[in-house]
Amino acid sequence: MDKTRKLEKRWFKYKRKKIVSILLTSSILTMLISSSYYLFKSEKLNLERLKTFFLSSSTEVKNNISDNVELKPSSLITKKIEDTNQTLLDLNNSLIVPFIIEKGSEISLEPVIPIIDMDKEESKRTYIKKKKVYHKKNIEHRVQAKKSNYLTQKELSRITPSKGMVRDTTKLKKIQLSSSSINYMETMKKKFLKNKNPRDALLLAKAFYKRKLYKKAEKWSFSANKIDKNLEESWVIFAKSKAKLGKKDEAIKILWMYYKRNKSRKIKELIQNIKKGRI
Amino acid sequence: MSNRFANLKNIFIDTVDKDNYVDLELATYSYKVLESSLDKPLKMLLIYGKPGTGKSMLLNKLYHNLKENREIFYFDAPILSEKEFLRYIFESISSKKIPKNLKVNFDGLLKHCKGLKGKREIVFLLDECQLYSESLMEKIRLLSDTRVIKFVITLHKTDNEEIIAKEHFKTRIWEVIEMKNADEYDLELYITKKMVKKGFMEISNMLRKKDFKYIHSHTHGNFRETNKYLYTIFDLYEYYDEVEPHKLSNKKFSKKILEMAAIRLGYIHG
Repeated sequence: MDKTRKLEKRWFKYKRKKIVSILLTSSILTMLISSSYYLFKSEKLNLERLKTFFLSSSTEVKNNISDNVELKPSSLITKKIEDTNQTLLDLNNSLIVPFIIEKGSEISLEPVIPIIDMDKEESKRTYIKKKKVYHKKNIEHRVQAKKSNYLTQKELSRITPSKGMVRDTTKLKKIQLSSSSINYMETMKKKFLKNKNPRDALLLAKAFYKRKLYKKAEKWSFSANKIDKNLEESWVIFAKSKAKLGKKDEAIKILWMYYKRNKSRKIKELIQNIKKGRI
Repeated sequence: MSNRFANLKNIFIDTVDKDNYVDLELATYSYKVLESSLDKPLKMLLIYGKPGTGKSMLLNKLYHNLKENREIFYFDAPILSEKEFLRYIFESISSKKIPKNLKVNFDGLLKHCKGLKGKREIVFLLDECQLYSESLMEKIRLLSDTRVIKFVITLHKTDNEEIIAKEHFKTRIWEVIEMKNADEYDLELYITKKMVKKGFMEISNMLRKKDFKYIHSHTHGNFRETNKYLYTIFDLYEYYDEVEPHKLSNKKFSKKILEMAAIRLGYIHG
């Protein structure tokens, strides 16, 4: 009888242990699930923040340009300049390489590659803030740029040409305004050689692709692929560069190989686009 | 009321008794193979398997079923002394008692057996043969060569050695029957049949699929282990039925008692 009572006590102990372990396991599981959820969410937030940052920096550039330049919906921005020695953009804004604009020249701006050295950028931003005081003096001559649209009639009317700014339409000259991408490329190349990070190679490939330097884009995306075979974007750039270089079959073959492995919808669409000659 | 569980637990006391034999699919098949093999001109038959898989039970059933029809002798416990073994063999064959001070001469026994060739066929059922010495096994081999004596032996299957591969078995055993642990379905049948056979249908109906599953998870379908477990379960049932009957349900089998029995036998640690 006593033996059974002792056994019952042992059973209670066993049951308690079991319940505790179940509770512990379930709470650990809940914690794991919730933490992974929040991690995922914060990761998403970071991405969003990064996106907004890139967007805002590009808007900033546009804002700087806007007082003298008419923005077109396309990325190419042209404006006839009347004053000979007027700098188009803020000289200290390193995202845009300063050019001395000749009288009557036409300016074309290439889109700024939204890849930025964060540390460098931070210091530049503070510098820009200081310079804003200087900008305020000329603010009445400036017009807020509309996103991806022409300026309205009203807005255009506010642009008052400064003294000496004479519009000479006969001597229109196209000037290529390039960004600091050359420096950027060099920095990225160095960075890549140092770290061997496939993302750096991919960024370089993207930059070259945007500049229509498809050979280089192909080379750098290939470098990224060699290091990380699952970097989809680099496969996309690689194939697109191939397609641009006239090697469509090769591009499709490469993309098919990748598609078989990863079943990516984006890749499938790209194959279709290359086949239809959209790229 | 308490007698009910006391009687019930007793049916799970591990005994090699033909009345406790439960017809299961594998056991029935093995029995048929064994029975039919006895009619074939085989010298030796081997039943092997892990302890508690029903080898002895099978041998016992065979003995009780055939003892009326043929010359069959059952050594349920191994006779380890060679002298005693030969004496039992001779006494079984000749139906004569040998005085204690006399010893059976093996060559004489062989000659005696050879003299019976074509006239008689005697079957000896030897249990737990892994306990016999090498030299005794050799003598068994030689006796089986006379084709007068046929041996049915049981062996424990061990993980480390493959006994069948041993020299003295390799050339002679013509029929090998392996006994295995029961699966969940067979174990359920075994427990239910055993309880119903003894008139405990009501209690057997209380056992649900998950209870059988739980029992199987601890005993792995080993009959000896299952008997032990069920004995402990009904021992606890007997206690609660007597002392704290309010703790027992008449509809469901108590999971608590199943777990308590498992703790008592060391299957789980409380």
